[in-house]
Amino acid sequence: MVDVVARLPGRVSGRALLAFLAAVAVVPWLLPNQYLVHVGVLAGLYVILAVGLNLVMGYANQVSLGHAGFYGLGAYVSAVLSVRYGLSPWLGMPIAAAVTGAVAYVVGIPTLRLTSYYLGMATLGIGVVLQLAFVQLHGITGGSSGLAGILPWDLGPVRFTTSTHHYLLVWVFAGAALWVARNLVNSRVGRVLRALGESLAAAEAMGVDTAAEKRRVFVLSAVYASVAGSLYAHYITVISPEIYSFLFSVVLVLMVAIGGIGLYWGAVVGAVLLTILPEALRKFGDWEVPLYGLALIVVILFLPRGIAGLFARKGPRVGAAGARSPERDAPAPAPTAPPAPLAPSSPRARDGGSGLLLEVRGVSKQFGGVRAVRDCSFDVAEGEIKAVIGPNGAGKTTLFNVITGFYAPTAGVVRFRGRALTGLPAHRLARLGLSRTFQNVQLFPSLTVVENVMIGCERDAPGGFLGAALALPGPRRRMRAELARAERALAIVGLEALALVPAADLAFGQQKLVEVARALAADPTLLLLDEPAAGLNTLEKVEMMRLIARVRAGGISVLLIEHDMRLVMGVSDRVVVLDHGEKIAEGSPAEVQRDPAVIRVYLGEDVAAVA
Amino acid sequence: MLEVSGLSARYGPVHALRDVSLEIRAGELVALIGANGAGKSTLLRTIAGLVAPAAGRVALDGRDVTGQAPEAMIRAGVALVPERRRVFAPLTVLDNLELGGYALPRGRDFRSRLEAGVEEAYRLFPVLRGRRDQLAGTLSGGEQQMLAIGRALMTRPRLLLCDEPSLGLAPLVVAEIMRLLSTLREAGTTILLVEQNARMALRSADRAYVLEVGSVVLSGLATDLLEDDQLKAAYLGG
Repeated sequence: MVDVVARLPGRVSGRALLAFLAAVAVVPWLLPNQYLVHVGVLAGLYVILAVGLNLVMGYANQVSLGHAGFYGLGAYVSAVLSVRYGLSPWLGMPIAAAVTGAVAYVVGIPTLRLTSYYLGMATLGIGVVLQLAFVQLHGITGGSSGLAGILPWDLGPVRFTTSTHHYLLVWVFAGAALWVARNLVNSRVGRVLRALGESLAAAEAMGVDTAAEKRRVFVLSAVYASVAGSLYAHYITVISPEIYSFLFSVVLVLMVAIGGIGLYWGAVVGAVLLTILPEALRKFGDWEVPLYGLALIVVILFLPRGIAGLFARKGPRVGAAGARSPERDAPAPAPTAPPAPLAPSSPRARDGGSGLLLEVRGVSKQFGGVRAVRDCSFDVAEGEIKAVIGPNGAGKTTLFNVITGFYAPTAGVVRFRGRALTGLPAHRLARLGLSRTFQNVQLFPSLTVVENVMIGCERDAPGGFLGAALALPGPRRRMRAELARAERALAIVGLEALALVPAADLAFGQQKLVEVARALAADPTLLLLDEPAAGLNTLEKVEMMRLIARVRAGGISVLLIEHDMRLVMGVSDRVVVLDHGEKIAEGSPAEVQRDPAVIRVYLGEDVAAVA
Repeated sequence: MLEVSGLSARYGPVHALRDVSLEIRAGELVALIGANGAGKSTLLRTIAGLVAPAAGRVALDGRDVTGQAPEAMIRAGVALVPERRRVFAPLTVLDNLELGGYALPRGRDFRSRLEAGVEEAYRLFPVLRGRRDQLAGTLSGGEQQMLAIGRALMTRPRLLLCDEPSLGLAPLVVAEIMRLLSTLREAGTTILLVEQNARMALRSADRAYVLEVGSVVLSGLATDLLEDDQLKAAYLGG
């Protein structure tokens, strides 16, 4: 099992990191002059900035164009404390980091709700406002002429005077920043960030508080920027506002993009390269800037995954025949001896009551003038399998989205074990024990199959950011347990052979099965399946029926939407029929099949006769 | 009409094609069945030019078209109705149809051909006429499938590649779509149909190929395959 953890793609080797830092440590003695060591200091600062930004942009897929502002805030807070109050940089730096983190937290609450360009614009605004503050608050910051007389770094009696001193100091911090980032990337946090960057909806549905996760990583990267800012201020000892401009934010984004967005080493490569490149081009005089631009264009054109992308594995290598062979003789890859359902004896063991689990009461949902669901009521009892059928566009999926907290109902209420769910976000419902799949498949395409299923375990394990950042043993143990649980869930749907394949490379029907496994890994009380048999062939549908029956035998209730009548009629206890948003029938499969209204709007004569 | 020989494709590490050969004669409706991940969609996408083959040959009317770009394949008379419909959700029904005609030759009669195509789509699917200004993303699943087929028909293809048109559709609508495919075939369009519901596909098809892990393992007349014991056990559910 240990091996499989190590084989998960995108894991960063600690040995590689140590080797890199060891190599970095001897660089000053190889350089011919102190000016180049100074360039090395800047490279270290930019590595801290870029690595932090990469966590936000590359992993969580949230654009930030305001990081120069956080860099400046870190510089100004500790510089002002130093100049006005004579505070040591060793105290000023953590205070600055706390202030910057608090600012990032507060501005993150509204802005991180936005996505893509809008988030870019909002963060750009933050950066611009911060830079304006550095200029306008001249009583404190010295305004546009800047702030001089900042205390330099020291270590007890040793004053840092040479660039080499600062080089070592900055790279110690860069090493720490890299270590924490590596721990996060290798932990559940990295997986969750990549997941929410690819599908917010699916991450929420699996119990991930996406807003909180985004905010945490945003704050962390702002703290990284702040630390870099303080290191810089006490190194140069004179700061002025013009370097904390929008342009510098763009350069930071470029470092991440050129190096390889979302690749751990990408940010390092990009930061070092964009620090060295202007120096290397200096001898070309007037041609420096155009050549710099040309180099960037060439990289972006020919290396869309950045420079580190050249060396990154595309995905795990799967032997040409090896991975497929298990299926060769059995077109339906279900195991003959079905594994036991997941953890029926978990601490959350169902109380076994035969009471009502889910109550849908008078639920309506209106979109503008369209009433997608009208005054719909039904129940799901403990241990029941209930199907919702009806013509395309009848409002079945809308109803699912209301029940699982993705839509707020226009009227009516949904209760789960007697508790009204109205107003709770989707991830809270997931943690209460509602687990769903999506009609159109919402997997995390670049994550491997097993990683997708591991996100299903998030319901039990929110938080743990600090533990993950420091690589404490607790989170690592939990990861092993989650992996084992994910593998069991995959075995239940018969896809364990594809565990290490990126989800995007699977056929549609297989993707649907991965979603079922992901929902099962959550060990839900109520499993909501939206068209689980779509994309499955006849025999695979039979397997799906068995699977649903097995899930119920493990104590999980099921609510499903499905068009395959053989499955619906074969597995459900009761069936609800929707048409134009209204419930037109409810009853046992036999009753519903005889219902003339259901035959007319949905089944048609042929199917009614066959089924 | 279509001749595929020794076709192999690598498309992600999992579902690839290995040495696939098949042929479709003009006017036939040929079904392609097989398990999930067997490579059915990949085969259709490779014929349509969306996936570059690693080896093998695709010939249309005896002319080698291996590895041609998708737009060239459309001009050659091959159109794909993609899996999961893939309509342009934020565009109207009419926009979707007109985009289907993008590859029509830009001559003087481009506009009139486009309009004729749209009119033909409305004739086949009267429900689309009433929804011409509605955004495709707001259509029901069945209507989206009709739109996807209508869009593919805009260039008046001789060979229509249909990737699982029944996916996620209500039983009544599935029956309607299958009827429509039979109508199209009778009107002279050759059809290669990928379908998970093997029994239903075999009932409408002339011939069928069974794909397993990227290779053709069985082929024959649809009526024979419906009685094939091996197939019954594996795909028809007894």
